[in-house]
Amino acid sequence: MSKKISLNERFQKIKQLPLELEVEKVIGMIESINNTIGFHSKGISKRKFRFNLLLITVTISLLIITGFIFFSIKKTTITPNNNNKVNLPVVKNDTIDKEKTKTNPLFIEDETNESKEKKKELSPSKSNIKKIKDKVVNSTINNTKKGINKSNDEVKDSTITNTDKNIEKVEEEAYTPIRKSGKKVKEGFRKFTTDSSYYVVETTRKGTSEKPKTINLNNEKLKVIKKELKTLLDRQGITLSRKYVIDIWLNDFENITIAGKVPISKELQKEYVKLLNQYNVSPFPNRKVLLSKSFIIIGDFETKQFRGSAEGNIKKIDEETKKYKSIESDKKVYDSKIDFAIKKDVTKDINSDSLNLINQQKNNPKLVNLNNAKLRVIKKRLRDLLKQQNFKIRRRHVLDIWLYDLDDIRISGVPIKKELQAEYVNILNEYKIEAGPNRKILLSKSFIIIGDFETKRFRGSAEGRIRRIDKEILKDKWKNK
Amino acid sequence: MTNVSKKKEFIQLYEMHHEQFIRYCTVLTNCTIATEDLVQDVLTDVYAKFHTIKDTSKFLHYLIRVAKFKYLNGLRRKKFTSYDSEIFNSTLLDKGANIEHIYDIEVLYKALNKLPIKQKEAIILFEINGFSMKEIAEIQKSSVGAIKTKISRGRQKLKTMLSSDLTRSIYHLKSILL
Repeated sequence: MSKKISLNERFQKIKQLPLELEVEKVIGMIESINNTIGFHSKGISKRKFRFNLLLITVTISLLIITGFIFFSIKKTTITPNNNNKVNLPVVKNDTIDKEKTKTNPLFIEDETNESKEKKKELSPSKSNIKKIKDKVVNSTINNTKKGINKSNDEVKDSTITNTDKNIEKVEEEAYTPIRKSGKKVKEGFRKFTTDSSYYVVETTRKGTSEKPKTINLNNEKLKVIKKELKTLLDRQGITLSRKYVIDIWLNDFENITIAGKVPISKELQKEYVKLLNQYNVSPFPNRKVLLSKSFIIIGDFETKQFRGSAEGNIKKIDEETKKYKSIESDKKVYDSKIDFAIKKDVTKDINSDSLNLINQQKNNPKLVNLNNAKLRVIKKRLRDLLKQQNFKIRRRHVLDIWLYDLDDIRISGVPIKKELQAEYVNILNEYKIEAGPNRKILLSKSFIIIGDFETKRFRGSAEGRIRRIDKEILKDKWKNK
Repeated sequence: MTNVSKKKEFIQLYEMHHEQFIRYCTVLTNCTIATEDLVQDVLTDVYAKFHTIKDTSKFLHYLIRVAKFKYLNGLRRKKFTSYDSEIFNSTLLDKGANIEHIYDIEVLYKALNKLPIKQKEAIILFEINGFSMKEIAEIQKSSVGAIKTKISRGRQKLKTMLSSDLTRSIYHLKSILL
């Protein structure tokens, strides 16, 4: 046992060993396998296949059915709100009370459709408006009908919202709606009934039907107007101040009010009208006179922009025009189409003589792109001018010259002497430096920076000590503005 | 192809490679029952897909490859975990094998089981079944050089294992005698 046997010898011994399984036994195995394989494997595979097929068909059919049901439900839920698809011109339903139909002007209107069609032919200009109204009426009728049939609160709500939407459409196209509760319908008004409230669309047009001109007055005229208005206000016991701004509404010359609340006496009103007529200031929606001790603004305060003329402290004027948004009064209704037309034409009417804000402030002035030599020259020339006004240029202290408006240049908030203004303007024009809303010149002994100090970036040119320049540019006070 | 003709052809092919295939399976499993199971499994599978075999000259290669994968699957499922030496030895003794031979073979089998499967397979095919290096490379889907290294390393490992086993047995005998 302890004999040393080589590996090859061991392998040889394995080869010599008798086989564990004889051929006959294995062949018998194969024969037995033969029968079982034919039945076993094929059968299972077929069964599996059939089962899978069954599963797939069932799931697909289920998916199709559920999808069909889902979409059909969705359609039925959407239809009540869809106004465009519903177009039933005449309503005839037994469930609706006869009394209601009689009293309801909506139905009366439908009955008299034929007579109105004749009127349409006579007045073709109003045809579009009527079409829109008819659409609204039809949709509301359908919705109210459904609401009554179902006697469901939810449906009623939907009708209310629909009428709201429709009226809004009308407002956009031709009218503005007034929401009143429990008031009788006057002539020229059309009434849409719902359970909760009345919606009234005014057909009559208030204000002037003519296309009014934009206010285009020069500084002298504005100063005169300011003086005269001041005397008129003094008579009424109203004094002008720097802090408070008085706004005179010029919607209607028959009823001029201060801040839309304080009415003016009839005697004074005539004088106001005279004064305004002298300078061709006509009544118009959103037209106002803003008056304070430091400025006067006359113009149209529209929703997003101001069109008109102004005189005085430009900073304050700018603040006023920016913050002022037109008050959409519930009482007065105007044709929005006319407003739109005016907005388009205004730019053509502006004269260069007048102190017009649009001309003064360029929203996108040319970028200041000056080399160091030019900047040094500007610095020198500005320094000489500043010395004349007793401004001292120091290393630590920085002077900032606002170039908001070239007519009213201010140095650290102090206005420039009128004698020197022309020289300042000359320098700026020489180097093509335009006025801009965020444009400034920062000046100290060690540097000069000219450019736009915008909220998030600085765009311009600078010369001098880089550290100081960086400090000034990266200062938070510019960024926060 | 009818079932009868298919069966005849399959049996004819199998008869040619019976010895090599059974030896391979026995060395893999080292157990009579396990070899029977393995052979049966392999034959059923191969017979089911017999029509797919294009080159009948490589029928043995196919059988061996299937047997190897079946054996590995069995190992994973813990089908061939225990090495039942008693049954194995008794069957060999019944068939007229020498006891000394059986003991030597048993030691070799144990050593072979310690080798990695690819080395073990290569050595079995080369030493016991008598395949050439090229054929083994085809079966294992690798290069001839790789097979050579596998065999040589396997042999070296076996030698060291067997020598250590021998010394251990001598120590064991000495301890008993003393």
